[in-house]
Amino acid sequence: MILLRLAPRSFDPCRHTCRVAGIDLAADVALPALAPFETPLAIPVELPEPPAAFEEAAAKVVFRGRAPLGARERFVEVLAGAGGARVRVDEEVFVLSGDGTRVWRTAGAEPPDPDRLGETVLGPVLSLALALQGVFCLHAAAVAADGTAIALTGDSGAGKSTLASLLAQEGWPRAADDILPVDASFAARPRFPQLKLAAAEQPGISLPERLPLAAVYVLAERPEGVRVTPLRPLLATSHLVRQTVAARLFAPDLLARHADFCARAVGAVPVRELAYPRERGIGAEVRRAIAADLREGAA
Amino acid sequence: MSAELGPETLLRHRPGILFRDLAGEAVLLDPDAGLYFGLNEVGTRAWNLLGGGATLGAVHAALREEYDAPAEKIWEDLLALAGELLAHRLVERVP
Repeated sequence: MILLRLAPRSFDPCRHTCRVAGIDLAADVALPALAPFETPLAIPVELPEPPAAFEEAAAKVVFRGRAPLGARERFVEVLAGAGGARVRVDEEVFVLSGDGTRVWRTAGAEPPDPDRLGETVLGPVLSLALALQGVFCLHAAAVAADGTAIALTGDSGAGKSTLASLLAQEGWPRAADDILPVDASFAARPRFPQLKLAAAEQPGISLPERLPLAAVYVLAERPEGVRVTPLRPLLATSHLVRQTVAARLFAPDLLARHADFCARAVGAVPVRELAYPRERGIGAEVRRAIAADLREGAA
Repeated sequence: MSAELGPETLLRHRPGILFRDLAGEAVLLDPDAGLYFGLNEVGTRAWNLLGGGATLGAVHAALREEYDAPAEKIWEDLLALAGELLAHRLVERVP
């Protein structure tokens, strides 16, 4: 479970409950982006007061600088100390417990603006909290195929969302648009808010909480036609490291766990380059190529 | 840096550097610096030999036995690798 106290001066219990990435989440402020994921909870959960003061003097700077968040760049600072981390995004400050199960917003706009807050909480803060619980978020679109998830990765502009839409037209429904949580058993957890999509368009709502990750495809352009190529383990690991959300914000111990995760993932899940021409109607051919690749891998 | 390295040079893995084998290649991680470094197959073999206490000369000799390439080329590549590992503080010299 993750408990979120977002209104520092309020003593409201965490009565706004939902379930994302297979984890129960309870907050004292309703975030609109989480509305599609709401779940009933019989008893509002009380969240203890935050730690008296984050031990800033003893903390190590993990990241300090400007980073893209949503449509613009924001100032981001992460300090890691004994038992937790402090995340600052512009004027918003959060303290996270070391196990990622408690999040306190300790400074920021009053009263909190739920829409603006959603971008920060559901971006770096939640990604970090999930990582501390062993669930790493990939920058990926995804589709569901035959009871599995297929991740589509690549740098911004690589065509992840577009390809997911094309494959959805070919019968593989979208499972993610931009962020795909993956757990330690390499199951994708598609029920996660995709911030670029409206509430009614959230792809993971109708899917199971966990789908085995069948493959990760790194997208590339190839005018000559569709081609699937295995990636060497070193390149595949490097790719997964780079495509993990908020990895720059990981403290050393979490970095080590992340490195283990990526190295194990490459041994357990095929990571391929999927190169194809950017032309109309390519969805069917790409679907056939992926299906053949997965059949070959299973043989 | 590479001019200071010779056959008798002894390098050791710096404490805290993580090594993960990837089917013969490897990735190194310095968690404190947040630095990842990839090693191909030959680099991984060299890393393992250095970890076993071999001098650069002994590593060179082993690689010459195991890989079909001119001795000078192997030495050049080994010096370049050693220089990078030192520059990125993944190894340290043994006095």
